[in-house]
Amino acid sequence: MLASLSRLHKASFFRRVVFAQASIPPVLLEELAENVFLQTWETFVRKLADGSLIVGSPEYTGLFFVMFKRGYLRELGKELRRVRVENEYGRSPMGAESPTDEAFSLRTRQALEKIGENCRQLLTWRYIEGLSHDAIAVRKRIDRASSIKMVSRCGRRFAELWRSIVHQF
Amino acid sequence: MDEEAYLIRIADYLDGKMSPAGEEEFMRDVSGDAALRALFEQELEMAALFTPATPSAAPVRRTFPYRVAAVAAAVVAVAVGVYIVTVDRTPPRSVAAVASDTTRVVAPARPDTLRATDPVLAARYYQPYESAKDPVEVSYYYNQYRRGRYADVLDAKPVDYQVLDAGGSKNARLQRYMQLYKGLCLLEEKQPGRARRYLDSAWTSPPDALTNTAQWYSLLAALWQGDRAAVHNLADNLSRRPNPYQDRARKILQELL
Repeated sequence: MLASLSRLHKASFFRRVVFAQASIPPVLLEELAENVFLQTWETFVRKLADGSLIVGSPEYTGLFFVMFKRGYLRELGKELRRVRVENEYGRSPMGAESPTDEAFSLRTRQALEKIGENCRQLLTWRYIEGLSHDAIAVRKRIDRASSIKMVSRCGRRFAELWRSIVHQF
Repeated sequence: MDEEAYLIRIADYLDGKMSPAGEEEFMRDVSGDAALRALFEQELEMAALFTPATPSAAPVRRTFPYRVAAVAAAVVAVAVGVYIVTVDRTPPRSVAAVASDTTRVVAPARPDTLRATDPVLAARYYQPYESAKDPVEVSYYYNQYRRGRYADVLDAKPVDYQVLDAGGSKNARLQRYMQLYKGLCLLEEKQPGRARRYLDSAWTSPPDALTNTAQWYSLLAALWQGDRAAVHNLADNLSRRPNPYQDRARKILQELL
């Protein structure tokens, strides 16, 4: 199954998530996509086996792609942040990004505590609960475009707070 | 295009509201439009801030074969499940209906997963590397690999292990061993794509003992990736010349046929 999934769909899946950029070389992006593809497969199979994921039909590639896309974009976001930190502060002598990852979580929590209630709620729904803008719009009783704009505005405010906490370290 | 329109496109992409063709087009636009790309990357970085701290440098994991075996077993279970689901359950048709059917009969595709899948084979044949006569200059890194301290090996630079008063060929050999060790560590960390790049750079022509080892582990990495062409090529190479992996390469070839 993995062989046929790779042969038939991998290239088109990659075209739907990988984009060219300056900060990460294409070969590393491809490698990241390859690794996420395999990890997604592993998770997919494990969840099917333990019953936590149920596929109603033999056609499973759509669901697999959604999992792959989420995983790839999550890893890419982390990689972009790591590259930005390296560019700003230099490479950690520990060689890995784990120390900064720990700090990111702490800073994120502190920034969330500082931001206003409305923004905290929106950011929590969007980035922690993973709600779509349609779902946020229903909860807030606003339209989707407003949800997109409000989350974006809150995101900027959050980023400012987050950076100010970094400078206090 | 103004920023609001960009934000809506980004949200559409992230919320899965685009068709596959639309997503490909969006990726092309992100590649070519710096303003759109900046906003999109900002969005991804924002999401990354809310991701729980999970270091990408995987923790020491010395149980690769066991974990792979568990995954392999799950693959087989799913394969059997999918086969059961896809078996034709349509009611039998009458002889007349069959005779009048002028459509071309195509044999149903049997899932190739009824045989051992590639990761299953990789798990069956994988054994951590054991040194025979590796150079003493890199024994520290070999030991770190065996202890599961992969970061030490992966972070090593030529200046860390090369010998100052040695000739170029001696240092080149040490470098090849380090490429092997790095590839082995990445295999343990389940990054077969990166592992293959290191392993492949340890080969020489004509092949020596180190090349045989590097090719064997490249073969397992390719199996793990499902890269059948590379697996055939490497297994064919290893099965044609005397080396410790010859029999295993032959068996893999037979199983893949």
